Amino acid sequence: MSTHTIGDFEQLILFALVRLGADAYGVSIRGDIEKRTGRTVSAGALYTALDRMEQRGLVASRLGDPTPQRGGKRKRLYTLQPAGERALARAYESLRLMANGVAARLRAVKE
Amino acid sequence: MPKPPRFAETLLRRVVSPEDGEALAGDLEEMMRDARHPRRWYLQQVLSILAARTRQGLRAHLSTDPRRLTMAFRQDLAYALRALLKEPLFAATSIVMLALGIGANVAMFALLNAVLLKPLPFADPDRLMLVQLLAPDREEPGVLHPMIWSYPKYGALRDGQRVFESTAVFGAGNWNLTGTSLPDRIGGEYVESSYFGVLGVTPLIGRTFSADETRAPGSAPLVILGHTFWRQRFAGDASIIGRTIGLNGTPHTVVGILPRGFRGLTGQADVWVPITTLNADDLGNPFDHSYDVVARLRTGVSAGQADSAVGIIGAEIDARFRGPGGVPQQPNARQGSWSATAVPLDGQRVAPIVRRSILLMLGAVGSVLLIVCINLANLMLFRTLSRQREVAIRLALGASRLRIVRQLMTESCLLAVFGAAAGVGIAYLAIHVGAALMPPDIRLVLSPSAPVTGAQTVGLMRVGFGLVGLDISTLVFTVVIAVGASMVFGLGPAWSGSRRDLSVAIKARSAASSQGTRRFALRNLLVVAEIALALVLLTAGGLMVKSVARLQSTPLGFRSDALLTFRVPLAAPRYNSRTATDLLQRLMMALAERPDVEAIAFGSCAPISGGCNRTLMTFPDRPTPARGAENRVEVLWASPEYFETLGIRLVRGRGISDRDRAGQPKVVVINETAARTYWGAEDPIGTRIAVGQGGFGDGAEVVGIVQDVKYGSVDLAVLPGVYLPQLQSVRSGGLIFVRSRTHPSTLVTAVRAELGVLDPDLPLVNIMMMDERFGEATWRTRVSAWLLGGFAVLALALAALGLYGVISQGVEQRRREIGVRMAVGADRAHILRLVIGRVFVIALSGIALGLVCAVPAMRILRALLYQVRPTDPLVFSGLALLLLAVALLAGYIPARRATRVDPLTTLRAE
Repeated sequence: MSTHTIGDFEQLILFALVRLGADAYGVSIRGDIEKRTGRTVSAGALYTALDRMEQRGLVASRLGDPTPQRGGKRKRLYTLQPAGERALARAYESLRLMANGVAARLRAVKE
Repeated sequence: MPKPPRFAETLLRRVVSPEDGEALAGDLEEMMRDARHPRRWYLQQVLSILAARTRQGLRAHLSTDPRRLTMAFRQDLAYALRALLKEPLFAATSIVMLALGIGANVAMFALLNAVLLKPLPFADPDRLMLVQLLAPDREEPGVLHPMIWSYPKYGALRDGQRVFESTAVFGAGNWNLTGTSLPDRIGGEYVESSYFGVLGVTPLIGRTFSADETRAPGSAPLVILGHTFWRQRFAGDASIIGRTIGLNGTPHTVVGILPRGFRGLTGQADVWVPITTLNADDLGNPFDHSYDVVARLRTGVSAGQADSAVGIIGAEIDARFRGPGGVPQQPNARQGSWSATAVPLDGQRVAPIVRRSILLMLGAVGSVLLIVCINLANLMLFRTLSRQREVAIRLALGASRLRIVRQLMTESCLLAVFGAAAGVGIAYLAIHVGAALMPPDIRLVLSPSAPVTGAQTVGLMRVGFGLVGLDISTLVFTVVIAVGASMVFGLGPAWSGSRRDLSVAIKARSAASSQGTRRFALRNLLVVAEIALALVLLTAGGLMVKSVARLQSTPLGFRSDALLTFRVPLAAPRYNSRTATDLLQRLMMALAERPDVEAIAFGSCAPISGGCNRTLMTFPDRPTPARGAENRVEVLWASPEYFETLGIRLVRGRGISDRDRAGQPKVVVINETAARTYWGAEDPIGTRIAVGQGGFGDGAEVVGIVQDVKYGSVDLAVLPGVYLPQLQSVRSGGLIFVRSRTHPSTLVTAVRAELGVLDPDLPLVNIMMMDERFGEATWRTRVSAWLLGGFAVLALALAALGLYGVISQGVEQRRREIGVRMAVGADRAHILRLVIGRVFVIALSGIALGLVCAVPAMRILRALLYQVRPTDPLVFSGLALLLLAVALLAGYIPARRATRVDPLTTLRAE
């Protein structure tokens, strides 16, 4: 599998990272994706994807400070890396280019 | 705030690293608050993490490309095939051994499946109940035995019950198929119309009986045909509906054909006839217990509720039908109240002893398969030993250990697949040969027999052998045991064979002998284990075989050879007891004139047939015995020629003579057990007794004592018995015994012909050689003994093969050492001692272990043994010696080969 392409689910995660900025961790990422797309995100899929992208250098993580509302456990905070940014930009660009001119028709089909 | 489930938390901690775990658990805890079922949600998430990790791990391990994976598998397969083809002898031996082991297991499982597991072949079988009367024991107050029904008592049940959707009464019957060019005796069932509905059987063609057609005695003679019978006798001609066929000379109108495979609850029915065509007197007699009752539970009624409801009806029946109970002259004959019970039909399909035998056999074949696996493990170990260089080089070139194990396991699995395929073939053959060898009406399935009253054993449920076969569950079982076997024999050798001992293996061949010793210790242990298993099986087989020998040599009290028995049912209204006796007399006289008939006699009860009528006996000159201490006897009616014809020895006094007829002083003959039990030291001859049946309640003189005869079963003690002269106490229900000068089967046509002259419409029933009767009475023990004995011999052969393999490979490995020893002066005898000594140690250890295991294991056998203790010292020591001898023989062959090692050749080869 090439390091240049990222999957659909991974794209969603990366977008969430961009939006969330400094407060991106498991709960907020999942919340963002579920809220916007209506997709149910399982912990297994989310953390596997995050692990995989971390291994590929697309994202980085560090442990944050413990907060009392989560049983005094620390958060793992994720930040987007340059490689991840590039990959996301490329993916979005491809999608945009492909969608150019046909998106309206797609909507028509959908409705 | 909800707490995460403890189990899920622990699981999570196991799955992920501690640092990851903290953040993950925190996230999950935060998120679970929003879930609808927080705890369930938490567990689901943990499981999804676990699944994702496993997938990831596997993918990383097997390379992510599925195409490469299948390619690797194909490579493994091709490699395994090549490796097996390179050693065809090894492959063939392994496959044959596996086929035998798996085949035996599959066949046994098919049997188990048919009699215990498979649902009964009726609609909604778990709603079907068998309803039984409960009769009080004659000896022990308060003890009740299951009992079949009389028609009037069944009527009370049918009309009184509210717990069943419907009930049906049925009984087994035999008919002479008459009015065709090929008269035949066929089995069938007398049934109530509801029978088919209760079982959920709909006719293939035509219809079943209507309620009106089985409502009252004297109904029209109708018949429904079974599928096989219809195909065989009427070529599947549908126009048979509406025509008549002759049963016992009466034309019966065919109303329907049943679907293929249905043989009724008796498992051997070809025809079904309304029960109301039976003799009205028999049907009206509340004490003629002859019929079974099956019922289908009403929806919403549990089996327990049905049972209690039936119990209440049982009490009503007890109150309503207080009657003779077989001993009209004895006011205190009744020991307790009758009752009734309903039990699930499924639980009644097999007698406990048969269930036990089958489980035992399954254990035996399981052991055989285990021995096969041990042998294969040994062979595999040896193979990996000889392929060590190859494996070591592949490891050195970068193959992972898992890759090598997978490679070697592919070989094992391939062997197991071939073995299983051949095994299914063997099982198929075994089932069909077994079905052909089984007597046709073996009662695989029956309820506990309790000859409480005059009626014979209770229950007729049988599973036809046709139910035994290879179905999906049997095939699943095959796959499971094949995979299990390949794990057992393949994994160990593959694991140890792929060890990273690179330097040792690659360096030199010479290292192999020392390197192999550790593995040899393991292989010796395996052989010890299989010898022990073989000994356990051998003792089981030996004990069963000894039981059979004991059974066969048990004195029956009569000569069973060249003796033909049959019954002539002389039913009312055509015959009354007077005309019936008269016809039997004429038949016997006609037959007695034939040159091939040595003797002929009438008796009311056949030996080894489950017992005869029982009654009480009193002495006019002794005080009346206390209740419960009465003198109980078996009572039989015999013609004057009876003792001579059956070869029953007269001990003292005289037998029954033809002067002992009605009007003459009543006399009886007793058996030895009666004399011993009730007279003791006194001389019975000349004393007077009263017998509770046959009109002998007013007393008769004892004129003779005859040898004991086993009327019950071979393994039961003889009961005190009293013979009444048939001519003094008219009784026509019984059998004719013919002692033949030629093979008794040749007489059957003659008997039919003579009977045809007297009354062409009379059927002959229960025609049987006395030898057959004996065979039928002992079949279970014999089949168990054959099977167990067979498995034991197989186990013995396999263990010997295993020992032979290990020793000869050991000799092969030590060829150089032996050569050196001989070069420095060891003689042949020394080498022989060296090898044989090892065989001896292995064999003795195995035997010791086997004895330790066999002694407690044989307790399971106790119920199946006859006059043999489960720890019979002769069997144990004899078989241990046999095993030792076979082991020494198996070891001697390679030992001999060791002595032929030429020291020069070996040394030169270095």
